[in-house]
Amino acid sequence: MTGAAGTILDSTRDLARRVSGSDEAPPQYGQLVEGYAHLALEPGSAVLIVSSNSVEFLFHWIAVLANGYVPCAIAPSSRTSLITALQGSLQIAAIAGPHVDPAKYRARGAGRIGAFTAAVWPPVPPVYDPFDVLILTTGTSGSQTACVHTVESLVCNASMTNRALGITASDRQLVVLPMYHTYGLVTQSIGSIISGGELVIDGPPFNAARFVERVRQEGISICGITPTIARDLLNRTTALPHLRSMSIGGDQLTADEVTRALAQPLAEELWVTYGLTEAGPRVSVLPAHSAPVDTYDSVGRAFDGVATRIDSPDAEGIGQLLVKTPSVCCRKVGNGITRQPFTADGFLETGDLFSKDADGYLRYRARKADLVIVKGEKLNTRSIDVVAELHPDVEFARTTESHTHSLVTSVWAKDDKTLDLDDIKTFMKSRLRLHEVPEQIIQQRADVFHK
Amino acid sequence: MTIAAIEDTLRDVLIEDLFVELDKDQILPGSSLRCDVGLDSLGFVELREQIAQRFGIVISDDDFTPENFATLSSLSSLIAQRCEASAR
Repeated sequence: MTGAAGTILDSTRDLARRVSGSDEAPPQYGQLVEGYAHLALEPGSAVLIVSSNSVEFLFHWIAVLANGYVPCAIAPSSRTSLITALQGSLQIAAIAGPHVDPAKYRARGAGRIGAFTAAVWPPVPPVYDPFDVLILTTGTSGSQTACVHTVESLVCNASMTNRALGITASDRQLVVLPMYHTYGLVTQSIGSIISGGELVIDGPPFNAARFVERVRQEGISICGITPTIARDLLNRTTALPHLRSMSIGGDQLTADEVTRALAQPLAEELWVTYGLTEAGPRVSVLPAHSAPVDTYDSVGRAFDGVATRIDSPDAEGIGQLLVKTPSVCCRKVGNGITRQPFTADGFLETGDLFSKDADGYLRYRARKADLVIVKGEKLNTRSIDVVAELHPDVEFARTTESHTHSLVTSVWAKDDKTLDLDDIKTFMKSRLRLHEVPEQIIQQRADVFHK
Repeated sequence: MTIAAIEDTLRDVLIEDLFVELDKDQILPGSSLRCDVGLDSLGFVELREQIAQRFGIVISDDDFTPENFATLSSLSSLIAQRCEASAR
């Protein structure tokens, strides 16, 4: 066991005191560890945890690790079809969650662990190591890929974030972002665990008024949010309670929005961050409250110990951002992964186009073609195409983002027949999460097909 | 509209529009929409929009709270109040 894993496991001694949420009863950590041990999985077996934000979720995640298994958190709204596909693609051994129905998964065994039900699939040879952690990439339904991290890489990243943002044991952090994503899980939850601070876990629906109330009532000193939530808060007319520190990441914030956030102010210290799951996730940070105004359009500079490089920059200095970080994932896994996103000299290929000025400030220019942000959620349009192409009448599908930032899927029929677009939409809705369903589906004829 | 009728309509919304993978009789008045039904943040936003369409009422930001959207029962009570207010 590494020192980082020991830190996480040891934290359970006083974690119940430091973490609070809306759970009816605090989970008994020892019983959870015992419950997972009874599953008798091979060390390195992956366990899907299907749960919304809760203290219970966090304790299950740690209890899975404590047994030498590999946790993989996933959104509670995930369809059975996605979970079944993930099981094959990522060699998952078991699934646990508050409402897991073993019959749906043809489980070979099942049992209660705390407030969760666990179901065990037929044995698969473990392809991971104890204290590995699986983190789904975009979490998009058609994509069954994940990053293999280690507890050490995630603790390393959370620690870099804590250091850069000055987060200490005296802080009380509010988690409103999903804990099945890296921001909520690593930056906030693991960050609070290792800092010795307190963690208040909240869940959906997000409501600006409630957020303000929670910050005030709970005496919150730090929180992390997305630009979507930040815009919601900026549109409020009433004053926000005092927050020592707020970090914003997950999507781009404009220079104007940073200026407004500082003027309101959203917090005493405002940190604009950039990261990606593969990197663990955080890479760079802009301390907007103390940074020069002409850097408000940037995501700041890389953390200490993280190297960045612009690959093959064009005449304007724009090229793919490459990152070398001690918190990088070991590898990517899942069906469709044909190559690992690393250069020969160990830099991670982010797929994002950036420029970097002489002072090291990184400016985001464009996203990899297949990734779009819809309703504040990052998703891969190719994975939506994959789902559309599962429909028996669809030959090809191509999903794009419209000028109104909604999804439009063009579909080409097998044999060029006329498609029942309502039927295709129903088919897609049953397999995708709500924000992934295209607003519009358009049939294209063979003569307008562009592969 | 009775509370029972509102609850039944909400079950339809959850299953037909939000594709919740539960049978109608598994969604009880006391079922937690977050923990038992499995709605995430976007699911709650979609549910709010569907309620507006099905019941012809607007759920304001002030009403869009975890307390009102906690269970089928609490949400039905909110809808009943808003329907009554809009009928006046």
